[in-house]
Formats: sequence, C-alpha cells, structure tokens
Amino acid sequence: MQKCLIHTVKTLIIILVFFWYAPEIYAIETRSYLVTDHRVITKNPYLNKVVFYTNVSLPWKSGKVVVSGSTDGTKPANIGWELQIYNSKSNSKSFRYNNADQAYTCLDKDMPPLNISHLFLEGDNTFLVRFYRPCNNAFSSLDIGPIYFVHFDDYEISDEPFLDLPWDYEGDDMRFEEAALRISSYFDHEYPLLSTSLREPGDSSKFVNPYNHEIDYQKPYSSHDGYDWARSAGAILDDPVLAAAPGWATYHTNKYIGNAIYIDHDNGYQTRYYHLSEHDLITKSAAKTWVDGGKQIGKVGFTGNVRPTGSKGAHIHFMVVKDKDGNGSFDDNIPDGILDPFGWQGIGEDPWPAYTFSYNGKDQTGIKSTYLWKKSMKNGSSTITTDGGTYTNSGSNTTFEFPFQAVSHDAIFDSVTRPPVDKPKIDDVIHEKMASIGNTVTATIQDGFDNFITLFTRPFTLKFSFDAQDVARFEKDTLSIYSSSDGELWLKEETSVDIGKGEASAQIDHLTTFALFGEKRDSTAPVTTVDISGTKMGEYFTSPVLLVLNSIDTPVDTSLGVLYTGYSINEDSWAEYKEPVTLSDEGIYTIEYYSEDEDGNIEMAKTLAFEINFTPPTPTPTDALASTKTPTPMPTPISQLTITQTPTMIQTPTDTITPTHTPTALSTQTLKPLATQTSVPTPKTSIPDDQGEVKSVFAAESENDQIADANSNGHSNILRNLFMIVIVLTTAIILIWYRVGKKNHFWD
Amino acid sequence: MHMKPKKIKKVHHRVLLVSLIVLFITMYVVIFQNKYAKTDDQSPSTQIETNPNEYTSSFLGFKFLVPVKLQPNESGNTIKLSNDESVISITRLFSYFDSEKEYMDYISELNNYKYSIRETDNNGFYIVIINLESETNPNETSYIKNIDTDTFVSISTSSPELYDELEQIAASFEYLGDTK
Repeated sequence: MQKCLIHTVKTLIIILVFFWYAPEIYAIETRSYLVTDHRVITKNPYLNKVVFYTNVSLPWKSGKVVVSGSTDGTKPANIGWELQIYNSKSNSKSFRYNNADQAYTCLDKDMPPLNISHLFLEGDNTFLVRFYRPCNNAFSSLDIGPIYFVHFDDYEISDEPFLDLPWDYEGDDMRFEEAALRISSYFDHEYPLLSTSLREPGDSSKFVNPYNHEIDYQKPYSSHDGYDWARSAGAILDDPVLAAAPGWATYHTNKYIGNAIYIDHDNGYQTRYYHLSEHDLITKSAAKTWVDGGKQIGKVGFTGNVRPTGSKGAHIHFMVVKDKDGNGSFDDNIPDGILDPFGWQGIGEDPWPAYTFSYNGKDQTGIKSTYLWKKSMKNGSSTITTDGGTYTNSGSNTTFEFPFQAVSHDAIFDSVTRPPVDKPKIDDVIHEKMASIGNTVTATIQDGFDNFITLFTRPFTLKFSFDAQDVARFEKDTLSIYSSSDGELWLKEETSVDIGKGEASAQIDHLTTFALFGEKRDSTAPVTTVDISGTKMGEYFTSPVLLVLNSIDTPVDTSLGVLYTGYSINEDSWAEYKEPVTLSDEGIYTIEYYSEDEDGNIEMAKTLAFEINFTPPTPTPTDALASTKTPTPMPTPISQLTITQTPTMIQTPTDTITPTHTPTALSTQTLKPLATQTSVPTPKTSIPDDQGEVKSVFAAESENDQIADANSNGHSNILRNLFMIVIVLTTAIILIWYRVGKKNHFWD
Repeated sequence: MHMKPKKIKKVHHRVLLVSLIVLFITMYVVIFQNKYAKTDDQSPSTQIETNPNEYTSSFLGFKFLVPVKLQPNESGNTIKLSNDESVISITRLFSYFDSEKEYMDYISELNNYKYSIRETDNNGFYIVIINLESETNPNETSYIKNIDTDTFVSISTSSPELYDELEQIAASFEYLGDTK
C-alpha cells in the first residue's frame, strides 16, 4: 500500500514536471488554418475508401507546422482511422498516418499533434487532405474533427537598415540627409493607397501625412505610396538609377509604372523603381537577375503616368514592400505591405498600421514602418545605448559624442534647435557685445518614462561647427561654448576652438541648452542725424522743408557700414530712406528715424517735431516770448537746424532688408503732412473670398485704427501747443505781476 | 514789530511763484511724455514686436525674424513656430515648377482641394487661401514663393490670429541659397 502510494506520488511529480517543463514551440506568430470542423460522415450502405477530403492553403517560409485538434497546436486530433496529406506542388511531399500503424487496419483513436513541416515549400502551399478507410470493414459513418494546421511561424523579417538612396547623390556633393529630404512627393501615412482602387476617407484625401507628422497642405501628395526624387534632388533625366541594396532584379511594366525594376532583397523586403527610361535597363525580363547594391539598374525617365507629363516630370518613384505574410510574394502585399523607409518619426501613433480596410475580398490592415536607411538623418529623437554614439542637430550645427557607458541602459536622445541669443547674461552681467554664432540647441536624454538624465559620470563631447563666414564678424579669441539651464543665465564651458577646422568643442557632463558665443567685432549701432532746411520764421517753417538723413556706422575701422535707414512721418508706416524728402504742405510733422548696420545692430529710433506754416501768427507786443526778429516779407536765408534728438523706442523694420548706402542724390520725393491727409495708406494684402469678393486678410480694422490714431494724434499736437502758449503767457503775467509788485513795494 | 510779518509775506509769494512755475513745467513734461508713450503703444499692426534675433536654418537655408511668443522647432523640411494654441509652418517644397501658380494647380489637383492665389507686394510672396471645406479647419492661409529651381517656401497657418505674424515672417524671410 505504501509502495503504491509512493509510486503514485512519483508518477504525479513526473507528470507535473513534464507539463511544467514541456518545451514551448518558438514562434513569432502562431497561425491556425481550419482543415475541418467536427463532423459525422455517413454513407449508405457503406463509407467509401476516401471517406472525406478537403484542400488547405497556407503560406510558409519558416517554422514548425503541426496537425492538431486545437488552434494552439497542443491537442490530439480526431482523424478517424487514417490521415493522408499531399502537397499539390510536389509528389514527394506527402505523408500518411494510420492510427493502427498497420495497413488495412481501422483503429479509431485520436492522433497526437503531428509535425508536417517537412511537407512545406517556401511560398504558398496547397495540400490535399484525405480521411481514409484503410480496412475493408463495412462502416456507414465516421466521426472526425475538429482538425487544424497550426503554423508556429518563426520567420522574422529583420528591421535592420539596409537601403541607400537610389541615385548618385554623393557625386553631386550632397550628404545623405541633404539629398534624402529633397523630396518631390512623400509617403502618405494617411493613407498610401495610390496603387489600389481604394480611396482615402474624409479629409485624409486633402493632405499627405509624412514620416515626421508635419502635415502641410502644400506638401505632395495625398495617397502617395512611395518617395519621388527629381531634378531638385539631383536625380536628373537620364542619370543612373542605382540599386538601393543587393538583390534579385526583375522587370515589370504597365501604363502607370512605365518601365519598372523590382528588387527582392532576400530579407523580406522588395524595392520598386518606377518611370525608368527605356535605355540601359538591367533587365527587360521577369526572370531574376542578381544586382549588387549601388549598381545601375536603369536611368531616370518619365515613362508611365508622371505629372507633369513629359521630360519635365522625370523622377524616380521609389517604394518599399514587405512580404508581410511571409509567402515569398510581394504582389499580394499591395497595399498592406507598403511601408515608409523613413519609419514613423512623428508624435503619436502612426495612422497606417492601425488602418483597416477590405481589399481583394480580404480584411487587411496597414503595416508599421521602420527606418531602413543605412545612413542616419542625424536629427531629432534617437535611441542612445550603453555603447554611446554620435548625434547631430543640423539646425545648430552641433554634434554630441557620447562615450561608452555614458548611459547605463537604452535611453532616448532628443535635440531641438533654438533661435540665436544676443546679449547673453553671463555671471549676472548682460554682455552687450556678445552674441551666439548661429542657432542654439537644447538636448535631452530620457528613459522613455519622462525621467530625464541631466548629469553624466562620463562626460560627452559637444562640438559646434562653423565656417569662416559665420565667425568673420566675431573676435576669434572670444569664442566659447556656454550652457544654460533656463535659457537666460549662461555658464562658460572649457572650450577648445580650432578656427582652421571650423570647430569648437567642450567636454560636458550635463545636458541643457548650449550656445557658441563670441564677442562681436561691431556691436555699436549706427548713428543717424537729421538735417532739415527751409525758410524759418520763429518756430515755424514758412516754406517747404527738405529732410536729409545721414547715417554713420561706428566704430569706423571694424564696421561694415549702414544696411538700412528707416523713417516714419507722423506715425505712418516705416519706409526705407533712400533720398532727401521734401515736406511741402502745411502742418505739424513728427519724424521718427533710425538705422541698422550690416552686423544687425539697430539704433534706437529718434524723434524730431516741427511745423510748417506759410502764414505764421503775427507776434503781438503782449507776447512775452515773441521773437526778436521783425517779420518781413523778404525771404530769410535758409537755416540749418540742430535738432535735439529724443530716443523713443526700438523699432525693427518689417520690410525686406536690402543693403543701401547713405544717399547723396539730391532728387527728392514729396510727402504730405498727416493733418492734410484723408487716409493713411498701409500696404495691405487682399485676397478674394469664396465668392470672389476681395477682402482684406490682415485686418482692415487695424488700418482704420491707424487712421483714427493718426487724426487724434494731429489734434493732440494742436492741444499741446495751445497748452504751451497758455503756460508761457501765465508765467509771463506772473513775472510781470511780481516785478510790478516789487517795484511798487507791494511785497515789502 | 512791523518787519516780521512783511518778511514772511514776501517769502510766501516767492514760494508760490516758484511752485507755480515748477507745477506748469511738470504738467507740460507729463503731457509731453504721455504723448510719446502713447506713440509707442500705437505702432501699426504690421509692425509686430520681434525677438531681437533672427532664426537661421543653415540646413534649409532660411533666415527670418521670429515673432514673440512663438517658439521655433525644426524637423526635416519644416520649421514650426508655435505657441500653446496655434502654429505657423515654414516648409521647403520641391517640385517640377518655378511658378507659384503652376505649383498650386499641381498640388491642389493631387490633394483634392480648391484654392485662390494672389500676388502680394510682400517680399515677392504669393498669398494662397486653401479651401478645405472642413468644419474644423475651413481654410489654410499661406504665403508661397519660388526660391530656387523647382523649389518653394511656404509659410502657412490655419489660425487667423497669427495672420500678422505670418505676414511679418514673409516680410523678413531671406533664402540663403542652396545648402548642398
């Protein structure tokens, strides 16, 4: 009894251990194909030798396939007496299983999961499955099923980058990222249905959603399922088109694709090249021809459907197809296997893999895109591993070189280009003469859960690249990298500068915002003076006034000169000063003016006010501050006035800046004073609305405001002068009152 | 006995006199200053306050003034200038044309929308209104300009509150040439 108990326990342990350690079949994906549901087959009076048969089709490239009674491939199958399986492609690929393990014997029992992997050929496979009666006994019914073919598919298409651009961009002196982004048409992640009869839903048909999710309605073009590169990328008509990677090339053509070469890269991907020229095609056969990566497969052309038509529309249409179902065929993965070789670099989910649709009678979904170029775009987010690596931010010309084990686990490096910084605050002091050379950059590393790594035990190298022109206007010995955690207060980093190499580098142990600062050779704004000339009587001009602006850029020895002088009359819009201005109408004028030099130093705007009055009021004897000059009908000599200049505000011109010199021409333009103007014209842009009516886009309201402001300003000038006269008169009366009182001893 | 009150009276009048003059001068200065303070506030709408710095993309070859409150972010062929709610996109476009109208005809046909285009006097740009016929985003306004062979720049927004900024960026935009 005790022995029996021990034996039972041992058996139980063995069974448990067996189940616990039963090896699982490795699979990337497990797929089951129904052979037959449970069914009872009857035949009167007797069943045939072939009791029941059916066909089963499934693609195969790799992995184990079993016949099983369950979809997970673990349960025995109810096959009746004998199961026969034949691959329709090969007579040698067949297998027969008899439950009795003997011919001519009928034994009805379940069959353990049967491995039939050896019956498969790469690609689509179709099997004849027969349920057989091996014995001669007379049976009138048989109970079989359910039975499945279960495929433990272990085939995994590598996501390892393997492609290069299909033309000789390096021969055109272009780097990969420069050439790759000269895209004439993008892959549309929402949705790439161009090669099908399917149409995009809703507003998706009005834009292309590119790899970085930067949607712009003017980017070409919705539904596009690949990338187009044309003349602007250096892919000029009749230039060689190159294999993006090695593989088997085949020729295809129709009225849409023109002359096309497809290359199967033997890694689950196919690349396609459309619209090739008739000349120098690597093959004009559907038979496979091997081609090495980078070798010519044809020439840039405009065959098939290109827009614009003719040679003007010559380009390479390049697309990538994944053998999604692993059957060795790519045609059946249009469009669900078409993907973007730039991957998906946008914020949020890629819309294409989540898109479901029905095509060719099958429910399908899109596919995830992975970055398949061998060369890096070098911008934006990248994975940084413990091996370290080099990351570039092209907007700021910076390179971050992380050493081995700079991070202890995989993390996400991100960099954002920031605008240049002028007059930085360093050690709590604003340095007026300093400015950044080009843009600045903010870099971060996070673990994927928004935990940021800001300090590093092993420093990394930060490099700013520049060319001679970038630093030409800076004192070379002042160049240095600075960092800032808040974008305002900057700290100097120990920097090595190699002017000849055009590189400044520093060993950094933290990630924040970085800039390359230097002291500007000229940080002084130009000085503008004004000369006005005309006939003057007292405080009035009694003739038209000539206004001349003169600008000097200092310091003279290190300055490049004046770029622009702007002026505004009575708060009208700013204009570039090119020649002397004649003011010929009566009224009160307020002139504002400033200059900017070639180094971008902008002068504070200055103001000058005067009045033109052809019939000035005649001074009276009671006027205490009357001019000592006696009014005379004879013209007085032209007087040159020295004007007290009042800085008011910094104004930045909004017009296009074009280099000008201080004008010397004496040709004049005539302007009217604000007080006599009926409106203040400001250049505005008008566009037609939907009904074709022309509307002002940019606020007619603000234009009206300006007119109102200008008029009210004219009134306030008059009031101000009246008030001045009252003050002067009152002061004079008080003085007279005081002197008369003193003379008569009123105060004594 | 009579001298003391007389002396006090004289001082009072002098103080009164000086005070009045100081008061008038002060009032004049205050009014004068207010007038120019008002001038500062009433700059034309097209003269938007800008950062003192320009944004330069050496990769795209673009240079322009960045309006205040907008933060630039560059990715690929696009620089986005955004605040919390709105965005302006500056995009480099490649095509087969050198004419803004030809390009818009081409792209509007491929992207299935209608548009209107008009030449402006703003730095050689054309203004384009794209009619998206969408309730959420009825129109997209953009400035477009041919800057190189088969190459355009588009400055666009669907936010009317950024039209002034759009105009200002277009006015200050400079193409620095082919970067290759």
